Amino acid sequence: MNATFGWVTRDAPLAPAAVWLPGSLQVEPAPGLTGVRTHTGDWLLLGPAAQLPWSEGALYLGREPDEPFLLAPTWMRPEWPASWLVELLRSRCPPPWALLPDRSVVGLALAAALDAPP
Amino acid sequence: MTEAIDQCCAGLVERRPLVEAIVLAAVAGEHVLVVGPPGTGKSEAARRVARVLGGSYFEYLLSRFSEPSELFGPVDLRALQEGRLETVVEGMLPEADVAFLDEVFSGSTAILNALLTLLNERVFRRGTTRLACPLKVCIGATNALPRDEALAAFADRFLVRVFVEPVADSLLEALLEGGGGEPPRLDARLPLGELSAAAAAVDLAPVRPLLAQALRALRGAGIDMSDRRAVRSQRLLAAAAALEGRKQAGPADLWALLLAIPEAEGQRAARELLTAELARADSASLAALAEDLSSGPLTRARRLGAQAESLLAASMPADRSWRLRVQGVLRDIDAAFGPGGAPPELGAMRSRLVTALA
Repeated sequence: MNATFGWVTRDAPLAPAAVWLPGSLQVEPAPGLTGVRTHTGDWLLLGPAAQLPWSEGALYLGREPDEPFLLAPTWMRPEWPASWLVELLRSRCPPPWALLPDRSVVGLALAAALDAPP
Repeated sequence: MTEAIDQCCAGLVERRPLVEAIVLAAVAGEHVLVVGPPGTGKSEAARRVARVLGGSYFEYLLSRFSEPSELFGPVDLRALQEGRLETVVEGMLPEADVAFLDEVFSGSTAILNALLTLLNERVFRRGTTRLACPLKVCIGATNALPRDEALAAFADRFLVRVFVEPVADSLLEALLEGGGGEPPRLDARLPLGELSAAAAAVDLAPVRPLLAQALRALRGAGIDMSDRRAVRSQRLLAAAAALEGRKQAGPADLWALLLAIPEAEGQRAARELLTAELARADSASLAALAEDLSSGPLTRARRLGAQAESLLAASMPADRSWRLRVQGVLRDIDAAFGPGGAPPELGAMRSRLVTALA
């Protein structure tokens, strides 16, 4: 995303709803999880918090309270109002979106179940 | 202290903050109103805390048909024959150290008036009967806060307000598992007398400026906080400090103020409004309650650290369910603080968990 907003630590973390995992990791199929592979080969998995895998380097994302189609880091929020970001993103790809700490955005509309071969 | 609370919470899903609130109120010498739908573990939590507090326990479900004698004891007929109105209070509310009154606002005016004096002054009066009561804490339960002015005045005597919800869907397995278990062991005891004395001796001067600032912010935002509640909330802060073994209350104890806010919406709003003031909230003995009320990073780190410690103590690297639990705690730490953002002590604990998984 071509934007230069900063990040602010959240007062209370969001409940995790997705996890970004580096592409070097082996992702196992799991019931209840959906996922997409980014153009850089990394994984974005969506599912209930208790089902999301952990691995060193994993980054967790939660749904922005006022914009549930926007997933952002659980521990920090963009300085800009989430509604502004959603306005910007809407013209680029269909929701939902994952906003990563490096401000890159992954479209999640094509996320597929991981209990089938991805 | 923690062991007694652990015992009270065994098998009770999501009720630790309630248990801890009752303990805090008992130490502060204040009463608790628990608001929530039926069947949410209110009475079980109260019963268990009563056991670990020791002393006598009285429990009653009030209805509009309840007679005063069902709570306070029957009229002494022998005394009545001699022309005196006296009450036989053995085993009844006037003799209780801990009381649980379900549907507390359903009682008749006569009952509520007698209760008002008993809760306020720890004195039971009826006819010629005038008894000093040992009551440490009364836990009232109700499905909803009363809107009637007369009842609201009675409700105001319950300084501590706890709002409970049914267990979240994601925890239903734990709820079902806990419901079928053995009765909990409740042999630990809380030294209530010592703790209450320590709370009464706590120096509140260091926290007063911060408390006044917080109260101004609450009132400025239209959050209901009467003068009486504002003054009495200090007892909760003192109890929170005493439970941590401190002789002075400080910013770490400010979270207890939120329990004195009478409405659930007000408590939620206060948590957001006082984010900066609550950032230093901390409590080792009442960690779940402090975290619930403050959402502060220190209380969150403390909870996660305790979970990590207990997993490391029961290290079973070959066991799949243990590994999954460790990964769950690592996930919670990383989600709460981000990469490298955990406070140093929790960061060290995280490293130990990662090593244990390797």
